Amino acid sequence: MSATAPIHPHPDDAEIRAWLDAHFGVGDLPELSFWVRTDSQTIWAASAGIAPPEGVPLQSLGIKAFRRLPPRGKPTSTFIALFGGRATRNVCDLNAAQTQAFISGERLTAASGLPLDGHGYQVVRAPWGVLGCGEIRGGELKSLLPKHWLYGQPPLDDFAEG
Amino acid sequence: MSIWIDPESPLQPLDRYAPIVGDVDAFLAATDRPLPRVIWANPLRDDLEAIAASVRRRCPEAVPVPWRPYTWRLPPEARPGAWPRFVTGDLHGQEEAAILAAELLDAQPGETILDMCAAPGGKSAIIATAMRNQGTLIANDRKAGRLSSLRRTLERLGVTCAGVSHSDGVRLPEIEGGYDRIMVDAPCTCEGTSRKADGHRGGTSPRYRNTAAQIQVSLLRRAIKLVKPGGRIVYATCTYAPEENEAVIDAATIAGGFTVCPIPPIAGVHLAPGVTEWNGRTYRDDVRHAARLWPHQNDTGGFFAAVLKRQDAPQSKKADR
Repeated sequence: MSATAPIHPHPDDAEIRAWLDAHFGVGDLPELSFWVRTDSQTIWAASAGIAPPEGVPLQSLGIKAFRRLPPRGKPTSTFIALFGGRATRNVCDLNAAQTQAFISGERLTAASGLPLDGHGYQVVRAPWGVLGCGEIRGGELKSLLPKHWLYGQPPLDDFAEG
Repeated sequence: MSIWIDPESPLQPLDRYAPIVGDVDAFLAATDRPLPRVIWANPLRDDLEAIAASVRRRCPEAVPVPWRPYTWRLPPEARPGAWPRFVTGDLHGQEEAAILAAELLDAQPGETILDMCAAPGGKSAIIATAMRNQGTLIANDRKAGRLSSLRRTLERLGVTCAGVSHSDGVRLPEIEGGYDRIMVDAPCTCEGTSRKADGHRGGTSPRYRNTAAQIQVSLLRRAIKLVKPGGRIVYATCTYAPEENEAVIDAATIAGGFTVCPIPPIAGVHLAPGVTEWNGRTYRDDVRHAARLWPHQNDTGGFFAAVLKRQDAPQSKKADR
């Protein structure tokens, strides 16, 4: 068993929440707490009331949220899924055709009919629910979804419908 | 599934269970049939009806599981892993018997719970969703190579109340106050998985079974040490062997202080009782309260689960007064 560095509440908790609210308009996210291990910068998002028992070494707590502090750190898609339904800023609501193109790895431009009025990391939503993370840069929406969605085997079914 | 085979000891085929299985021919025939796939909608999501509609549209043959809401049996050839709502964590696939074993823990919001052998995370996910993401779940596994699958399952399903620990279960430290509940889904000889495409077939070496049983007793003994007074342990395996099931409970609880609790009837599920006698050995009488799932009695894999309750702490004389 490898030794595991202790995990503790993130010292920049307020900064993380402020960035999330400013960027996505999700409020203070009182249901979540943010954690970090002493040997890494990865930020973990866990339930607010979680109380890791003393003496049990933990590799992780809750869901990986960022590899480093935002705005440099990218939010993970599973983290975005926690609050993406409530996000009011930097949201891309895709229609069926745009969803299928996005999932296939295409970069969406204004020609696709998508208003690209956000900037940076985006909550990307299909008509049936939150997909995960994208990024608007240089007039294009690019997928930052987990790569195995695109290249995994067996290939995924049609995403236009849930 | 890799099984270490001792070249010197002959493999034991499944017909060794003839004395306890009832109709042995029906049993052996059932162990070869492909297993139905079972999926459940993630209760942490708020649009369960929309998820149900999507399941019916993608697989009109889906049949609701009678004993659990938003859970369906699909034909063995269905591939729900490719569905969008599966990928985004609205759905999860898990064998029905495994769901049942995790449900027997009866996890409650706000509790502190340990899943001792958690990878790949299906039972932890059932426990965390029952906790409504409130409280603390320690999802532990000894094998480093299995931790990523465990974390992936929990993250995909939006589980935020769990911490992942990489430790040998028998070395997990005691915690203040003890765990409210502990799931011991022990490593076993996996004889009950023969219906899965990658399941174990072709008999089991007795020496391997002995090794498994020793590990199982150690894990259950540790759980007994870690659970709080009045707390609950579910001991489960996916094998038929009494040596790995009833005998393990018998050996691990020899010091007393635990009872094996009766399991209330479950709609549409045939729970066969635990055996109190096997190969000339007898076990504590209350192991009959354990549940055996035989594949010819339920369209599931083979499974064993027992609910153990630690007795409440004796009240101090001061409290009596």
